[in-house]
Amino acid sequence: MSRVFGSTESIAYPGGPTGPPGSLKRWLRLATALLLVVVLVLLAPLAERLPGIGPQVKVLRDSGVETGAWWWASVPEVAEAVRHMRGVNPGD
Amino acid sequence: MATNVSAIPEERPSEWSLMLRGEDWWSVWLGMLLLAIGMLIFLPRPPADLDAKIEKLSATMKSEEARAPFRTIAYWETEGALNRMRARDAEPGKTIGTYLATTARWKDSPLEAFYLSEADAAKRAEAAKPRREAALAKQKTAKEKAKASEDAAAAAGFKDAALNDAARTAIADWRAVKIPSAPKAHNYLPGYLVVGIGLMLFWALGNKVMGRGIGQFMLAFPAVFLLTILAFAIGNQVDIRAMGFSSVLWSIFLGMLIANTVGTPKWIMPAVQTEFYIKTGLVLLGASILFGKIVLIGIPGVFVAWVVTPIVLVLTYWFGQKIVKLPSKELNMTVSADMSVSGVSAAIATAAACRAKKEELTLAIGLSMVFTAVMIFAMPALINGIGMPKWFDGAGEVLAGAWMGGTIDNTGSVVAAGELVGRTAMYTAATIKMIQNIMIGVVAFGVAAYWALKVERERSGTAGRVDLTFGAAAGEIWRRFPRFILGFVAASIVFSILYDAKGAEWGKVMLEQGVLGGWADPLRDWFFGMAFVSIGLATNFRELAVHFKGGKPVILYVCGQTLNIVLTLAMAYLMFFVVFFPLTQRIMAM
Repeated sequence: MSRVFGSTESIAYPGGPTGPPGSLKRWLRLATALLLVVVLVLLAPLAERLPGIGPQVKVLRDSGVETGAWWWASVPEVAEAVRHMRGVNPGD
Repeated sequence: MATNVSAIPEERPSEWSLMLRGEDWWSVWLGMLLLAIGMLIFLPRPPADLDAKIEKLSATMKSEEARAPFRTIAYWETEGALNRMRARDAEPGKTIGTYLATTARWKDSPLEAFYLSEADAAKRAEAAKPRREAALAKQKTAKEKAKASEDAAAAAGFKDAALNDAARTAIADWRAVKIPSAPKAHNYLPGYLVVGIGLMLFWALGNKVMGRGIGQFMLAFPAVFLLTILAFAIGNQVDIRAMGFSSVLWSIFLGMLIANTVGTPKWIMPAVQTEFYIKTGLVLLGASILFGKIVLIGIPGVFVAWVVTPIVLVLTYWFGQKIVKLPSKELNMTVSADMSVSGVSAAIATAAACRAKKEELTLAIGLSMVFTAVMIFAMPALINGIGMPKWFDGAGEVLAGAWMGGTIDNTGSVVAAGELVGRTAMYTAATIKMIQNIMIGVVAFGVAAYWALKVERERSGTAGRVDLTFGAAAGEIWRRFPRFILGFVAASIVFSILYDAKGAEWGKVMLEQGVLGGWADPLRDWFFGMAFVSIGLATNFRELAVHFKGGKPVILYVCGQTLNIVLTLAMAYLMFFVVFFPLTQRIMAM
């Protein structure tokens, strides 16, 4: 952290990280965790070789479905489904 | 979310003062301001001759529907033309869309999330050419076959059931061919600069009028914004995305990594404004809750999505209080809503309505993400394993779709699971989920009212002292009610009325593919992205562990989801195969 911002202090949470702010141990922890994220991202393409779900991962990847989207408007297939269902309900 | 929900001052500022200075009201004002700007940008610029085109294309579709007992090639081509009309494709919507984009999908090189040169895009397009050409050839052959089948059915006056079925299948096969899009060059970096500065000024305005300092906020904002971009980039890696581990998870995770290793630097904290981002984002989200869509697949859809869901929600909450004995009512409600309604969206809305703690929302979202990642693969495996799609002469796909749509948490995951079963299953699942999504407005309103009238009164010791008259109860609700929920509901009502008044086709072109799709939705994604990063930056592993004690939230989730799975299957069977089977047959005949 730069002193430009006037403080190198980190927020102390009850039961949170202990030790002096900016200690080498903490930075090493962050670096290790980030390294793990990078490794995970690099290994992600191997998901299609996972036993059991590999072929399904490949189908979903190739289909381009927004698997992680949490709201209907972010998933184009929902609009497709709505079009497909048009007229199904006689009250439409 | 508040850190101490019970701390409600008896002496509160006047409503006028809250309207001028309070965060809840300013979330409403800013959300409404953005929606008004979106309407000013898109509504005066409809595609040329929009009404006439809608009328003409709709008439063609109607006549095609009357001509044959199945949807013909001409019907789908006309529908495609209607669907290609989008208000956001015209300027300035088009440019705004490119600036508001988050990151691109990428496979091997993370840099491609932000930048792909013309030369590299051309190389990618060249490499993808054989696959694309093969798909185009397959589509051409499928269309020829569909045309021949339709002609044969037409020659028999559409009276031969076998020929009609053959034509329907051939047309479905033609429509199922997906053409891979050609990679395009992109550079999101200028967009980040514009959006970053724009959002910083936007939030600074809110902070300023609420009497908060903006200097420290403006120094801190870029850090939160950059972490949000990083989370979007990781969540857009194609394999990670396919498994459902979206940017929501990465936003929280990256924030938590910093908070729990080196500690969140104090200078970042002025921009860690979780509640403000979420409340404003919820007002924008409200605009896409369109009540007219509830009856899309008639009464069966309403029963599966709107009858089972509240039953499961109430029973799970009761189970959490009486049997599991979760210490926090807010955590109980957030997990119950997240599991029974619609995953992350319900968790956000409910947590905000009952003022849950950040750790509680994090826990609910984490549980949802993990169980959803399992269910994406487990439910289709079970459904395909027992041969459900083939039940009832193939109509079992509707049952499978309704089952998945009512139980799997997030819309994207529902569509993914449906994709692993079949097109009809996917369409049914996606529709049920969308109808269920609409429910979050009602749930958030109900939870906020329940908390105001019961939970918070009990905590403040005023409950039970006197029996409340209707007027007094209404006054009590109003006094404690989170005001931003009013903005959330008002946005939904305004856009639902507009949608119904101008017609579904106009609504699709001008609202869904204009004000919302081209403006409010991408802004909402940014707001929630920053909110999730903020949650992570303010979440402590040990505090999270306290809420996780004894695995109680997991027990609650598993028991609630088991009930959800059983009830949804029973209701879907009852509705689609016992009471309204003709409607199921119509779905299959589309």
